[in-house]
Amino acid sequence: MRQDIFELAGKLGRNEPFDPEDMNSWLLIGADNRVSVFSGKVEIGQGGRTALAQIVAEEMESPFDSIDVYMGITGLVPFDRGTHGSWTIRMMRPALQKAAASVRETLLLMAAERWNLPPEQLQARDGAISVRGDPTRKIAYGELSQGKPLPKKLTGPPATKPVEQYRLIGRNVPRVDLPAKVTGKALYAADMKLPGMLHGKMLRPPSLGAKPGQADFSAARRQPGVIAAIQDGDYIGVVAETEEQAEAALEHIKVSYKEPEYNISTEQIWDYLKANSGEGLVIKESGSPQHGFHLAEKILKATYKAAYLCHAVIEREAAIADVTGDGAKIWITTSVPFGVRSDVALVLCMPEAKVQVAPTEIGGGFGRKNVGDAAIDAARLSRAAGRPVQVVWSREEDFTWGPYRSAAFVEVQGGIAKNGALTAWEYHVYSGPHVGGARARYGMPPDVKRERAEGHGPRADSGISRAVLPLYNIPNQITVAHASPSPLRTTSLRSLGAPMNCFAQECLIDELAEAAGMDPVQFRLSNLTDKDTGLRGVIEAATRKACWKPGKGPTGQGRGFACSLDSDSWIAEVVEVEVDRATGKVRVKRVVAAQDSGLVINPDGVHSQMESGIVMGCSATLNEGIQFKNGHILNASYLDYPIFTMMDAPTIELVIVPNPHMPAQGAGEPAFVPIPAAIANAIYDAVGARVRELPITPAKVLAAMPHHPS
Amino acid sequence: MPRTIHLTVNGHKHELAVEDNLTLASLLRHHLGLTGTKTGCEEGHCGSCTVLVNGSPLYSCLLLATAVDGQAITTIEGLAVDGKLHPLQQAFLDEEALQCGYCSPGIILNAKALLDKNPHPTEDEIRYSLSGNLCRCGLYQRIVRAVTNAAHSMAAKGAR
Ligand code: FES
Ligand code: FES
Repeated sequence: MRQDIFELAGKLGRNEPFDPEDMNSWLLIGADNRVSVFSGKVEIGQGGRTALAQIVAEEMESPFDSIDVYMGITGLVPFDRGTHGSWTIRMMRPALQKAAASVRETLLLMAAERWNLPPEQLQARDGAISVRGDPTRKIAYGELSQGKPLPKKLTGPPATKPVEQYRLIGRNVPRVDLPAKVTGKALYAADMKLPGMLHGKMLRPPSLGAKPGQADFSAARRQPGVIAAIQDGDYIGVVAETEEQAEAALEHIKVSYKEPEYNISTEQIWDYLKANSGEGLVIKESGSPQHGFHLAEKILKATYKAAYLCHAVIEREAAIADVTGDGAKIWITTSVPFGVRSDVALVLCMPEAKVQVAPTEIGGGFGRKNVGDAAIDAARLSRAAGRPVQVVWSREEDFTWGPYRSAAFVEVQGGIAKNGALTAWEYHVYSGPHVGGARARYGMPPDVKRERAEGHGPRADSGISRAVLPLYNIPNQITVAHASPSPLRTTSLRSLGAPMNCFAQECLIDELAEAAGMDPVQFRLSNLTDKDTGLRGVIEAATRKACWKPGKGPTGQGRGFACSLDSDSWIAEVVEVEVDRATGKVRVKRVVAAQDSGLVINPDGVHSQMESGIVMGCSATLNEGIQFKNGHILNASYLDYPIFTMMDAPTIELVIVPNPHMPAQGAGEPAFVPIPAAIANAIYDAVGARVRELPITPAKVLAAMPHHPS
Repeated sequence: MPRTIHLTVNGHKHELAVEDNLTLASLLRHHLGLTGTKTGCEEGHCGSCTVLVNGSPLYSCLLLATAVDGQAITTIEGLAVDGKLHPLQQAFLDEEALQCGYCSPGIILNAKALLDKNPHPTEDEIRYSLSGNLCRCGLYQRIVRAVTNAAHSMAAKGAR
């Protein structure tokens, strides 16, 4: 039962802190030969639970079925910053591979001592150490470990298993989390029920940033079922026996608000970002851009824009808190359990050691769960009520009060020589933050020290400059990232600033190719060096699979290409669209993608992630953008923020470019990245309309069409 | 004032006293503990709360409990028989047609209603029938494939 989850650490004899260099921090072999794996990552639908078990079973020579993976439970697993940035495999594989190899080698030495045999005569197979050539002499791992941490016996780093001998990694091992999800047994945060549990609701201000005066709860407290009503700074909430009662009681709270002056809305965001960003951080400068433009035969200059995006995951923000004199227990749908632990500790003025956080089953994240808003709500309310409290946000609250991906704005120019060689490039991106800061915007005191430690800050936001450098060989170039504050609350969303940067870069590259009179794919290939084998590999794989041919002018049907490097994976995509000339409506018919992610743990898992990223990318490109005015979010429902449905989703064809000797790279985000650019390029191919602003709505397509009356 | 209603849920008969404003989704989730029915929006836009009412797929977040008095409800918990997965559930596993799984119960039930009516749907029919169920993980192509495969395996077994 999930509510007993915090007793595990005691039962298994585990105590923080966990030294990441110690194999025992990651793995424990029970006397029953079951292997417990401890990871700070969470299963967020990405298949992490299965892939981590594959990695450990492979390296330890244990049966896959004997592995139990404990994920994200504070106090039980080593600290982790969060399950984001496509880091589950990239980060956990080296750590778990090393720990599992150390465990295997240690067990071998322990058996060798016990039998008084040289270790070379022994082998690890199937959860046991046996004598080579005498399979009857064997001893199970659990018998050696006795369920205890293993002694330190290795003097150097352990030998790891050669890739050629892999039998589990690289195979489509079925995901272990799925059976409970198709039968309805999986428990998400809104599904859990604790004994004596109450329900909380927050009173939301009339507009973003409005400040409440002193609230009068006298009428609200008399409503049926109401147990407590509280104000904590700007934060006002009610606890009742049922959710309906809590909701109903909100209307009886008397409070007046002071609304700030709003002078910014959707249309003015670009000017705002530019006006409010500093001179920027030079990400790269080489050669002399000025000289490069001087050399150019043709120079093209353009600006590209992207709206705020909402994660719009189907599971709403939800958590349960049980705050008592002894501490706080939190069950929450989150990708950052350790972040939630410090946030709750901060809000309750409690030492972190007294706060325990366990992730529940998670109904999708894509960055949305990088904050723990509902835990903050539930913790405040549970402290007031003295009983466990569950908080589940409404869909409108999720759309309005959750964080977004920042809008962004790019100015770029590129120059080419007569032969089509790129000579110069100047790139400026302006954006609000992608990482950090979101917590401070949810009634939390800012934790400047932590944000600095995590590398956030207005100048160097790694999200803005993600995938920001041009992929091509350009002798003279400068790229600058300008960080601005954001009028709306922001956090990261799948691949952060990368799709925006790719949109600007890869659209301009298409425009330059046309100026050079070249096919866009040929143009790209001709501007790569011999060393760019990764990018060349995916470009060739994608275009081959899509049977790429130079287009024959506007026909209403179009193909577009774009590529990128994201999460250390190479990705290239060909998109086919159909554009209705009368309405400007775009349909994405087919997407062909090729990705090189190094070693692949679970190929079907990578395919699944790619399909997912492609559909989300198409949806973001054509349908999605948060609209706001006078402190109000104008499209806070799925009706008004229409994410892709089954009817919209394209046919997808995928290629994984094999590269097993490269470390495993990120696979959750890259496929999203080239989609906006590839769709924009395809629309241009289809009807000659160059749209430089996301989302690409029918109105924008019509307005950009040649010979359009406007 | 609570009103007494009678419901058959997954083959079990229930007599329940419910408030007028209680939705079927809340009744299932909070009163009967059938939390396999998800509620992504509670406003009729996402389809995650889809259940079968006398075999027809309906958004349980929009239905008042009192309005389904006397009806037979099927939720995701009622699909497997004697621990054996329904062919659709099995096909969703085989195709791994889910990631986070939040949309899956609603989609599987909607697909069941489709296959009960139309045992051999075309891809377009599947897409059209399921277009009221959002999947933010975006696995639509796999979902279509899973439903198609389930239709085949059900036809082969003569199962319904
Ligand atoms: S919860 Fe019923 S349609 Fe979304
Ligand atoms: S699997 Fe996550 S919403 Fe469909």
